[in-house]
Amino acid sequence: MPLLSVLTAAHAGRADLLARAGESIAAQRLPEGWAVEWVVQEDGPEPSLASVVERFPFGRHAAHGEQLGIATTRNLALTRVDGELVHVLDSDDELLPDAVSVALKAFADFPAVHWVAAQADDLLPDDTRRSFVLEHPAGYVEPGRMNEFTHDRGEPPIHCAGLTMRTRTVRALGGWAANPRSEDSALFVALAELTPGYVTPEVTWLHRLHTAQTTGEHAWQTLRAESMTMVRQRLAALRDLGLALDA
Amino acid sequence: MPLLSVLTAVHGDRAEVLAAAGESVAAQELPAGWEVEWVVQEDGDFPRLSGFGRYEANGAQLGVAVTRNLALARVRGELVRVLDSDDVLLPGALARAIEAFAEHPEIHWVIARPRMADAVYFQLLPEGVHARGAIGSYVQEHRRAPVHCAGLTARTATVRAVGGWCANPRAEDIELVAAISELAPGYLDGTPSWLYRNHDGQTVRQPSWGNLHAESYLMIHQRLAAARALGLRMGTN
Repeated sequence: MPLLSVLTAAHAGRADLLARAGESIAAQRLPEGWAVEWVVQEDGPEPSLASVVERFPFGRHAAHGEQLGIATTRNLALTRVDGELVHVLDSDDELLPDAVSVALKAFADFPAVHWVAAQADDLLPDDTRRSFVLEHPAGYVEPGRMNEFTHDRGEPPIHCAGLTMRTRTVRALGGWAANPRSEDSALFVALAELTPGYVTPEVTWLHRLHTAQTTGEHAWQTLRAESMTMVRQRLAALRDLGLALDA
Repeated sequence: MPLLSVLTAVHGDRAEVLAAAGESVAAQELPAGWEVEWVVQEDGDFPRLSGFGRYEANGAQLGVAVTRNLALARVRGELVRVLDSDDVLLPGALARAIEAFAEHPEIHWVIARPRMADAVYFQLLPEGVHARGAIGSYVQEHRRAPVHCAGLTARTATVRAVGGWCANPRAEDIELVAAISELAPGYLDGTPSWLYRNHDGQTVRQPSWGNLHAESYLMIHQRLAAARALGLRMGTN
């Protein structure tokens, strides 16, 4: 049976939100014949999330027992992924019930694509939703097409936290990058340069905004410029070398 | 004028050895026309090493891979040579690497062999040019690197294209070397040209270092298998 892996990096302290993320996976309306697994990798020296994950029959928890940061934590999760497709889900976000089926339909309708980017609504602290409009139209995206935007802005015009990707392609590109603030943009710039993708018109997940969110912290704002420079330099180097895939 | 950038990631308790590393860069004699810069990036919450080379600090504890990548973002040379903060270049180290690139224009990387206090470090593949995939195949088969990755000189663009040092818990440099050697041939230099220091403060001697090795090598193995299955390659342009 084909398998899609939902990949979540988490740290202790996120138990309540992680349970909600898990519930949102449990509520997926999957296309016939597909199964889902939830691969959770816990960062930090005092892991405490195993019981939250393992209450779900599709949940697979592992902890590495030290603080390694989000990129390495996601990459450790990636080594445990069994699905041919991997859908990122941050520990504080939630999928809407058709998230997986919309992504799978895109891969079926456009067999050439290696990634599907999904739209999200913002989820506010009072649990209300607010529309968020991507600065890129929905539909099929040729390789390299999105990277003009990424080059200009230093970050891509989609939410990397809602991507579904071919597992093998993510691994070939080295997974999430050792980049202090843009570990996912540094991955996505390579993915979008070498392979075609698709942006769904449907809103299929909720992006939680809250005060304890990593990206809201003051310290997170430092090193932003350097992180974007690293993304641009990777793009320039990919073009310089003419990196490509056969398949 | 062509420039080679020496790249050093460091943390605050390494001032003394960092000075020795810097002296060893200053003492290098380069082939005619070449210049060198030393790009130093300090990891940690409380930076205290300003004044060494072209220096910046993270201002936070980010680990060696991110720290090296922040240094890489500031590199201006077309070639980049790693120099760990507790290591020292021997005379001729940079010239040997530059000459290898001149002699073998097809290569994208050179790895130099270290000398240790009382021995020459192992190098498990012969000296000379190695084709695409040679390093990766060795790592896949033996689950160890055939070379010491802290002796790497590479084309800066190639390192950037593969994403730099990897978010891999114990093998960030071996994964990088395996990734660039999948794309392009390189050269292994059998003559020791740098000094690898063993000391109690080494990262590799910390108690937790023994963990996560299986996972780190699995990550490399999966990357190589995926890159080969997809035919990841450099174009002709």
